[in-house]
Amino acid sequence: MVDLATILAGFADVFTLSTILYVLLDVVIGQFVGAIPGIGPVMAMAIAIPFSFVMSPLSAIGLLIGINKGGLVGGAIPAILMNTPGTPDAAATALDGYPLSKKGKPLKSMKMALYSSVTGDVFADILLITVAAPLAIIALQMGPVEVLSLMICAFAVIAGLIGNSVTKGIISALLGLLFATVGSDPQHFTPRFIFQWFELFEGLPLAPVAIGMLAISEILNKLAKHSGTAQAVISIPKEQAAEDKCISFKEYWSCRFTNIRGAFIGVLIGIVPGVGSTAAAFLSYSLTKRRSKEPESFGKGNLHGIAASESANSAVTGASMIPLFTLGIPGSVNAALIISALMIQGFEPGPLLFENQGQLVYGIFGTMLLANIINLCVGQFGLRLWSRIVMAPESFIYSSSLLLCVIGIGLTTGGLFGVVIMLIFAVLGYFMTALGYSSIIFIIAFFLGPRFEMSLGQTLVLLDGNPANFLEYPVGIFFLALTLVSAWWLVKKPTNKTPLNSTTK
Amino acid sequence: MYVDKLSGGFFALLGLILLFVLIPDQVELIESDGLTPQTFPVAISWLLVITGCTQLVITNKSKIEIRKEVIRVIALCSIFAGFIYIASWIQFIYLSPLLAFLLMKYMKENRLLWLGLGTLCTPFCIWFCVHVLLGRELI
Repeated sequence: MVDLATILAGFADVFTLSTILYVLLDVVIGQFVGAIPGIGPVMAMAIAIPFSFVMSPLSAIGLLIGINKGGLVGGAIPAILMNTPGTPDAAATALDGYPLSKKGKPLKSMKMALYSSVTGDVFADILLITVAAPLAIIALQMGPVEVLSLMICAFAVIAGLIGNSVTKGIISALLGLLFATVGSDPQHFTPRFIFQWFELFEGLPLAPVAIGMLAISEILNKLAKHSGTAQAVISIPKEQAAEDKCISFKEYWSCRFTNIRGAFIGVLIGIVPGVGSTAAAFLSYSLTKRRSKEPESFGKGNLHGIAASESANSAVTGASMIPLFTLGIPGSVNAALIISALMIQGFEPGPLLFENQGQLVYGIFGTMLLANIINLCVGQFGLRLWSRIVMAPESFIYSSSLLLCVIGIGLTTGGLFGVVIMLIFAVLGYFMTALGYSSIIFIIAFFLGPRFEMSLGQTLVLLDGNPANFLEYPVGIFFLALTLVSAWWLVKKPTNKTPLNSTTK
Repeated sequence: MYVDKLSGGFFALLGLILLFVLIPDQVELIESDGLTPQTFPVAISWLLVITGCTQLVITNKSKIEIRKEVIRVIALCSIFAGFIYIASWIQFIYLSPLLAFLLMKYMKENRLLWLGLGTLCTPFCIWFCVHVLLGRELI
C-alpha cells in the first residue's frame, strides 16, 4: 500500500530544522505543563490545537505528540516530589517515587521514571509503526456494514469501561451522537437543529467543542475549587553522592523485565479504546509487585515500582494511536485531540490516510521516535528545573490558559462564534463531569457521529430492509457478537469499580 | 431525591422534548426509502428516553447537595459570557488583561510579580506572537 520510497521520504521529512525545533519546543512545553499539578498534557494539547493550524501538517501533529510525550515524563515529577501526580497516569509512580525521594534520592527517582517512560514509549511506537500499515490494509477491506458493527462495538466497550456506570456511559455517547447531528444531514443536506443560527449549517466545529468540554470545563472546575499555591515538600539537595542522583546501567538493566512487562501491558491496554493509561500503570505495578522476590519493599522506594508504572503509562500513548491510524477511531482523549488537529489541517483520519497521505503518516511516526530521543535529552538536563516549576501559582496558570483558549478558538473559527460554542460546551462538560457522565465518551461519539450515521444509512440500503441479509457479512457478525459479549461482561461487573480511564474524574 | 435519579429523569425528559417538540420543529421531514434526516435523531431520542428511565429506576446513590463550587462556576461563566458579549464591540485582546486580573484576584493572588505576569505579560505575548509574528487578526 505504501512503497518504501514514501516511507523513507516521510522519515526524511522529520529531519528538517523547523520540525526538530518544533518537537524540541513541544517536548519542553510538555514536560513543563506535566510538572504543574492540574494542568497536564491533555489541557496543553487542547490549548495548542488552535495555534497548530498555521503550521505545516507534520509540525502541527508533531506539536501535539511532543506535548503529550513530554507531559507524561513531566507528570511524574510532582508525583515523586510532592506525592501529587501532575497527571492521573503518574498516580502509581507516586507509590514508590515519593518514598524514594523522602530517602533523599529525588533525582534518582525522577531519572528512573524518565528512562522507563522513554523505554515504554519507544516500544509502543515501534509496534505502532510495524502493525499500523498492515492493519490499515485490512481496515480498507471493510464496507459500511463492518464499519457500523465495529463502531457499535467500540461504543459498547468505551461506554462500559470509562466511568463507573454503563448507563451513564451510554447516555454520554448518545449526547455526543445527538450533538453530531447539528448541521446539514449527511445524506439529504437539509439543516437540523440550527435554530436560525446559520453558522451551524456545517455542524458544530470540533475544536471549540473539544476544548470547551476538556480544557475550559477543567479550568472552571479548578477555579471553583482553587487551593492556592502548590508547594514542593521535597527539595533537591545541592550536594549528593553520584549513586544517589543517577541511575547506573546495572540498575536500569535490573529493571529490564519490569520495563518490558510494563510496555506490553501498556500496549495491550492502549489498543483497547477507552481504558486509559492509569489502569495500565496500576496493573503493571501490581503484577510487578506480585512477581517480585521482595514484595514488602514496594511502596517504600523500590525502583521496580517506578519502572513498572512509567513504562506502562507511556506505552499506552503510542498504542492508542493504532485504532486512530488504522480505523479512524480515537481510543483516548489524546487521540481525539490529534484527530481534531488532523481535521483542522484538512485530513480525514482512518485507513485511507495511509493511501492518500503515506508520507505524512510516516513523517508522524518519525516525529514520534524523534520526540522520544528529545524527551530523554530534555529530561536528562531539565529535571532540576522542572522540579521548581511545581511551585508556579495556579492563579497565573489558569488565567493564562483561559486567555490562550479564547484567543486560539477565535483564530480557528474566525470570530466569537467559536468562543460562544466553547463556553456552552464548557458548562455542559463541567456539569456532565460533576454528575459522573464522561466528557471523553461524549467527544469520541461526537467525532464519530457523522460517520456512524452515514454507515447506518449505507447499511440499511445494502441490507435492503431484510435483517437476514446481515448473515452475508461474517466480519459484521463477529463485531456484533463481540459487542454482546463485552456488554454482558461489562454489565455483570461490580458497579462500584474504580473508573479506569485516566482523565475521567 | 438523588442526583443520579434526577439526571436520569432529566435525560428522559430531554428525549421526550426532542421527540415531540424539537425534532418536528427543527428537522425537515423528507420522504425516503432509506435513512431520512429525522431517523437518526429520533433513534437517539428514544434511546435517551430508555436509558434515562433506566437511570431513574435503578440508581439510588449520591444525594443532592448544591455545593458552593456549582454556584462559583455559574458566577464565573456569567462573567465570562459578559466579557464575550462586550467583545463584540471591543476586541477581546484589549479586555483580556481585565479578565485575567479578575480571575487572579478571585484566586486571591496578591503578589505584584505574578499579577503583572498574568495581566500584562501574557496578553502582550499572545498579541506579539499572533498579531506581530504570525500576522493574524486577533478577536
